[in-house]
Amino acid sequence: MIPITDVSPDEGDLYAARKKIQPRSIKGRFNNVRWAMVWITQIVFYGLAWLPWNDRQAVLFHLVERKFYIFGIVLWPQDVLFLALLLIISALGLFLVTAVAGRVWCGYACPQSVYTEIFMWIERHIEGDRSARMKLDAAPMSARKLGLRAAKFGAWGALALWTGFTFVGYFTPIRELASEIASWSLGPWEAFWMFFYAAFTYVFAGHMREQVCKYMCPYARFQGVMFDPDTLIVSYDANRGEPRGNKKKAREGQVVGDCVDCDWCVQVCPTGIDIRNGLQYECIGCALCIDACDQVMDKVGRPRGLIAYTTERTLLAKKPAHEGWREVMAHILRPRVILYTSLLAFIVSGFAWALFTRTPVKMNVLRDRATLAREVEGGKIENVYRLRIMNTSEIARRYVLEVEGLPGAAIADLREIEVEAAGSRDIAARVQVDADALQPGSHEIYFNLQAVDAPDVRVHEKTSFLQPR
Amino acid sequence: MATEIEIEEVETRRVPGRFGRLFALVSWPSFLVAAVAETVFFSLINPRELYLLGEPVHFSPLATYTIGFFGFWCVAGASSLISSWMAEKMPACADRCVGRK
Repeated sequence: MIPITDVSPDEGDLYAARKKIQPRSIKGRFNNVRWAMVWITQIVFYGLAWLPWNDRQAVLFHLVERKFYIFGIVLWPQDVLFLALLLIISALGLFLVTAVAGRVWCGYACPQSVYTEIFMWIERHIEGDRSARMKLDAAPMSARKLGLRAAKFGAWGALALWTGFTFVGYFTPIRELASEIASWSLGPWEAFWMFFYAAFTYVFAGHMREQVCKYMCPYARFQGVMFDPDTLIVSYDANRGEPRGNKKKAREGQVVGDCVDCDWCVQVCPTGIDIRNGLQYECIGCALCIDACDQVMDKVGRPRGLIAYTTERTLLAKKPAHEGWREVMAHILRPRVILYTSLLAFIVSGFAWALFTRTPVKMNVLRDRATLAREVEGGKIENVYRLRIMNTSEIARRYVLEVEGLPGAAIADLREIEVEAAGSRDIAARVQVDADALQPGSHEIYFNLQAVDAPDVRVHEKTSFLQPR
Repeated sequence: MATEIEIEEVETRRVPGRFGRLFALVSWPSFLVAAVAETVFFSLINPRELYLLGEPVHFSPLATYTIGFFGFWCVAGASSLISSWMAEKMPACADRCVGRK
């Protein structure tokens, strides 16, 4: 078993003043992966909002128009099913990744981790390394401290505002937003959300940091149920490391493990835990302690992997982690993983199929309740319908409207309807039926809408035709 | 090759106080729930088609979305607050309760 030690603070500590964590920065393989992820996610986040596509923003969740543009796809509120499917896909993806690789989401991709990393980078470049920052924290207020703090908070604030601006730019066109800011005519609600999201980023990434993961994040609490003995975890090899201690100072004949008790793994940890105490829910799986320990092992001339990505099963088998990779890979295809993968594949293919085969036109039909059925010339009964025709394709189209289902039913003043690309149009359709042909009451009737240029672009909607008594 | 590595005592935990914890426990889950509620509600309902006290809503759509979001947040927050207060006031449990002293 992974050794578990109760290291929860005493009740008294819960009321103690907060102690700031000042992690030591560390270079290494996993730190490089973390930074690669920072670059990838942030280039996408800050850049994608500016990408044009067919004369508009490529990715825009236009709240005022109530249309979602995602590259060539335009989603309307009627497509809420896709949103639900997307949420299910994201959740299943997270389950799968967690079951296989543990908390890689937390360590590498979660915005909380990513922004904390960026904010810490700013902090390090302004206030100095870990010991300099600890000294600065302890020092009394001086002109220098005030200057450093002002510079840090200023830089954080600027980045947070840019983040808030970009965020709002995904919900309202970013170029319009930029010109509104430039001309000092930003709408109050856009301004509110920009500052709200900026404040949010600033507080979460600048001040709360690991506390968000430890005390607020629901995923941190429940991810344990997705773990099994074959899930990758960052773990300390206690068999090899213990008893820890300084080898030089060890007495003759005393057995000393590989852990030199240098505390680097604790100092680099962004959540401030000691990985040698075993798997803890505070561990966000960032693997910086692996980088730190590998460096120390290189220095003391011992093999790497005293702290490593491994699995509970490998640890139980008492194999050193660097020999345990075969063990890890041998158990990767297990029922849980196969189940998540097949579910995910099923839903993703369903999603793709639904998306690519959907008809790029929609029609809402409402019988006009203000105008009751009435008799018109030629012994006909007329009902008026309000139609909303939505062209969800990226080209302007003309459509032909027809009615069927009742003998002699026809639309008065029939004409072609033109709807702009990704636009909608409301029209009134007057449907006339011979009065003699129908019994009084309600009758089913169908509207057919057919695009002139594409035979497969058509919709068929049912409604009712009222014959007065 | 062995190198001397400096050893430094560190205090690494920071734990929020009672009100800090309560604030975090109440505000954040309700924020997430409000975000989901907002998305679902306004996917299904157009803010231009809402009625307030019998009158059509005349705010801008962005204002309606914002008010809606904070409304959902307040409601979910109230529920979280009551739950956390009740959980705190739960009678001390017997030995079989896990995780309590």
